[in-house]
Amino acid sequence: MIRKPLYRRLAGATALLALPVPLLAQGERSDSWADFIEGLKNLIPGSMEDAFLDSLKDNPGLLVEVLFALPVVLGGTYLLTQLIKWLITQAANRSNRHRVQWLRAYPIVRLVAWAIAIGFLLQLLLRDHWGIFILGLVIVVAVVSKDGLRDLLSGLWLTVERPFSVGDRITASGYYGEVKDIGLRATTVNTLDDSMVSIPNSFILNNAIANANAGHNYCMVVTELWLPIDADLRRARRIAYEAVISSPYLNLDQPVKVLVFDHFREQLATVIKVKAYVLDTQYEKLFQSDVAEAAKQAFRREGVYGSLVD
Amino acid sequence: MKNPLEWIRERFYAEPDEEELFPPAPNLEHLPEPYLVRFGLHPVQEPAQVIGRDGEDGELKAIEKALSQWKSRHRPLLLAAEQGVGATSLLNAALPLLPQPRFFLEDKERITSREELLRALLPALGVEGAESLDGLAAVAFESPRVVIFESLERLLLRRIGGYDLLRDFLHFINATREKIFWIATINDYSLYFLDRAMNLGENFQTRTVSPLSDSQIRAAIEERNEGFETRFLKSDGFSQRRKRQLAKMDAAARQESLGEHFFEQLLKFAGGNISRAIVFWLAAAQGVMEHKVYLKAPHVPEPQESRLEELLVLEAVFQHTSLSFDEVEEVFHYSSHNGRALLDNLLSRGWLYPRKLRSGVQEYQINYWYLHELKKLLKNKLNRNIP
Repeated sequence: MIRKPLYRRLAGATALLALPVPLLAQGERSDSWADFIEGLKNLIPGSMEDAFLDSLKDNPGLLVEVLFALPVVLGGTYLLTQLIKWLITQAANRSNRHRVQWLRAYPIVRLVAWAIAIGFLLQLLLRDHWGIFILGLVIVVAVVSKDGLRDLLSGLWLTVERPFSVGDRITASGYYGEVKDIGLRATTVNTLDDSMVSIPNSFILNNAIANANAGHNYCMVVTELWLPIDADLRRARRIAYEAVISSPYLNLDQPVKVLVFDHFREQLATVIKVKAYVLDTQYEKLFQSDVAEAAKQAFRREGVYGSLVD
Repeated sequence: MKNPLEWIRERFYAEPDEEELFPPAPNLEHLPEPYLVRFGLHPVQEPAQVIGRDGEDGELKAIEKALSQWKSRHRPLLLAAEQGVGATSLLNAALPLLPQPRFFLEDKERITSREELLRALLPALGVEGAESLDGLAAVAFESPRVVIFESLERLLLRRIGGYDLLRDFLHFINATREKIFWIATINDYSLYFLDRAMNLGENFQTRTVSPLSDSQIRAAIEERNEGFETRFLKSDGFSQRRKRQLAKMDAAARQESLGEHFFEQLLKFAGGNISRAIVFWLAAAQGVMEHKVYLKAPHVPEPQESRLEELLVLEAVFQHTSLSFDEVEEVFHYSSHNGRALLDNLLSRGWLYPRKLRSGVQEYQINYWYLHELKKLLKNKLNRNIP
């Protein structure tokens, strides 16, 4: 809860800072400004009769609006998006079944929140030439740092087009991992060795991206099992299949395929490729390791490796 | 000042108190033995006592229909049922409807090898001296037989090589299906797994044993309680307002209101499963005096948050209906986690309980108190589309 003395000190400091500003102010009082001040009065306890806010409401001055509205609206929006992010993360953790769907929602909600906040600020700022000047300044800064602008626009495009979402497993710029965040400048990917990699959005938009699960919480996992070229295939296939269906990480509702290939490059070999879906992308490597370990033990036990392994 | 996120966490994601985590222990020492016998979890033996399985759409009619279809199409029947829903009672009721010779191979012994399977099948088929399943399948019968095989999942151990016995038995069923009408039962969770892992359903015509309706559950409970009056006590969770309302009523109206509330809770908890209704009733029974049973609705615990490894062990138990320590070790033998320790954890939480010994081996099964809650947990956490 905000205490009144603190609020009064803040208001006084703002008024001092804003003292020369009304001289520069050209604009008329706007309805949205009046609504904004009314909203502040409702928000701050005991400020309904506050003379300072009343005078500010009637005689704003453009930069006073900027000084007040900019930090309050931007800060408030930031806090709101953080709260939403926290709530969504909690919901995703509680409902693993819908984890990816929950996480997908956040970038959209964040975009909408920021669009409303920026729209409100623009409505305040664009009333006169000072506003246009400030907007022009923003555009000039953005153009000067054009890579940043490109990343920003790419981030907006990624949020709207959604070639992947938070929670998806993607390969981008040689990195494979789970998308943790699609920011306005960069996308953060958590790789399998637990590194957080930040990839600029413009790079993502201009390059091929592989998405392993495309919005589902499961994805296909291919496990390769290498055997001697003369291995007993019937037995090897059965072992490979039973290794997959016995794995606790298997997504039972998706098909399992066991394929056999010959390998003739450096060494002659039979390769069994087991294609199956993991129940949750988080357990992809556990699943792969589980299948490989169980199958290898059984190959050895049943003599499928032949003379290669004693 | 409290952090707002902390406040939200406490308000909406609060951890339960320690005493709310475990199922209430029934007050068995306050209940006389004859009363406890009425509420045992054993299957009903008398066909007349089986409730809710007759009628045009009922399971008994479905078995009769499957039998008449078998005469032309020779397709065995698979009854899938949730644990504790009353599948064995249903089979007891179905027995008189089936022609002789018939044999009910109950789930009383473990079957873990071809030899044990052969030993179990010999009396079922009335044959002596066959030395292999192939030899037994070749035996000719004078007249068609009916064989009921309870709990198909006992032939399974979810590991490499652990499907062979079940596969052999399915081959045996297919080899003998023209001379034997096979009825097999299976736990619904096992069917979910085996149907996907080895297309089990393709070998059978499958029928699900449906949950009982609320009125049937209530009738079954009241029938067991026949001869005893019920006295309902105020539940601990009643609000002050509710207590005031009750205080204003006369004794008869108060009992009626408390009784309605009690049964509402019991039926909601049971979810059509008679075994869950019985454990709720026993936990509610505070004592019996002069043919009056005093009942107070118990607190129903929610399962705690659990680690992935524990959930995987739990799912293995669901898939097999019950597992011993050694079997858990075998199912998770290549895992870095100690299956035995995980099973111990689940036991200490009250999620599992020891089953009656089979073939001298101690196995553990899901506690009815958590049956639906744990299924829901697995559905959510392991993304299973179980029915």
